[in-house]
Amino acid sequence: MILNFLKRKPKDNSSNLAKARLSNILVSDRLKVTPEIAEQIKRKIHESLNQYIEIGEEGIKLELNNKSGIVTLSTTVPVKKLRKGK
Amino acid sequence: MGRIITITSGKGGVGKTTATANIGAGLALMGKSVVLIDADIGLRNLDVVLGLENRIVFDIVDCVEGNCKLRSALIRDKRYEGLFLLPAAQTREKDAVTPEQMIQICTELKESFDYVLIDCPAGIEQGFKNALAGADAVLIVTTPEVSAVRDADRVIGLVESRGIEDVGLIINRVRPELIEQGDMLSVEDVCDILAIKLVGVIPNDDYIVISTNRGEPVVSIKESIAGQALGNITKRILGEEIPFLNLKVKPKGFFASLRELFSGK
Repeated sequence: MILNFLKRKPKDNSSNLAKARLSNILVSDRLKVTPEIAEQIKRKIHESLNQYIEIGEEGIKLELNNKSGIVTLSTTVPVKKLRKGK
Repeated sequence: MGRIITITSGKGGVGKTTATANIGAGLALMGKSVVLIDADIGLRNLDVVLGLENRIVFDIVDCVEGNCKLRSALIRDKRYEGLFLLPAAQTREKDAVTPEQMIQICTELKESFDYVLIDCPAGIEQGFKNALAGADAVLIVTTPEVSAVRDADRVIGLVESRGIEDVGLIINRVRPELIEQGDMLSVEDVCDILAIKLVGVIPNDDYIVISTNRGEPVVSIKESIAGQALGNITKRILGEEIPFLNLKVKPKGFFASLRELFSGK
């Protein structure tokens, strides 16, 4: 209902939080890496892309997929804009 | 030749046993011959959910130890033509049966029944390994909660590493009103994360409590939405294309919403 919409901001719900927590948990579960290492990976990706791309505030997302035994790592990097070539 | 389907979840209390009992009853209603195996040795419950607890004479451990023939341990459910239960032992431990013995039982049952459904215990230890030993297909039951989905993900990994390819997902205890207000993982969210084929969505339903109290499968209760969802799962297992139930919350109307707003809900 419209009234519900007025009462709540769209981001203010617990299912988004649940989803974000789950994807973090699954990265460490599937890769058997600790959350600290996952954070480090994200930081390194951030560092190396930062010189070419301005990265959005949402931050980099790591996701592991396990399709028929092959584990792949996909990263989602929100791009604000490309940095002009030096 | 029958088909062996193991129902598992990793986490306990998400509805494996209820799903097993109802899918079994549903398949029997569709004219199939079905054996339900309770693989939860030491904590059996499938007999209770089916209301057959007073009819147990022999159990699965008696079969593997040669105290009885497999046939004589099967309990016939008189309400559902073609439905049988092979109960677990209550006073033994999981290692009373080995995976090899489980395969042997499955192979024997496969010859005379259309479906063998195995109710897997919670966890990923011996009981889980037994339940998966003979499986042709696996159904993973989960609920839209972080803990249950996490465990389901782990179990899917273990199942796939055994080379079982037919893995389906059942999402249980879905509450559309909570999803709509953004306070529950949606069916799409769970499917995105687990990335296996969806076989069923079961809404939260008080009829489940009532039918478990009575020991009667909920698939037989026409008014129950969970019963309908379980009936649909049965048909999908049989290869029918059945659309998923529409779980959209009906709009409440202006005055109801206004009332809610003022009551501060």
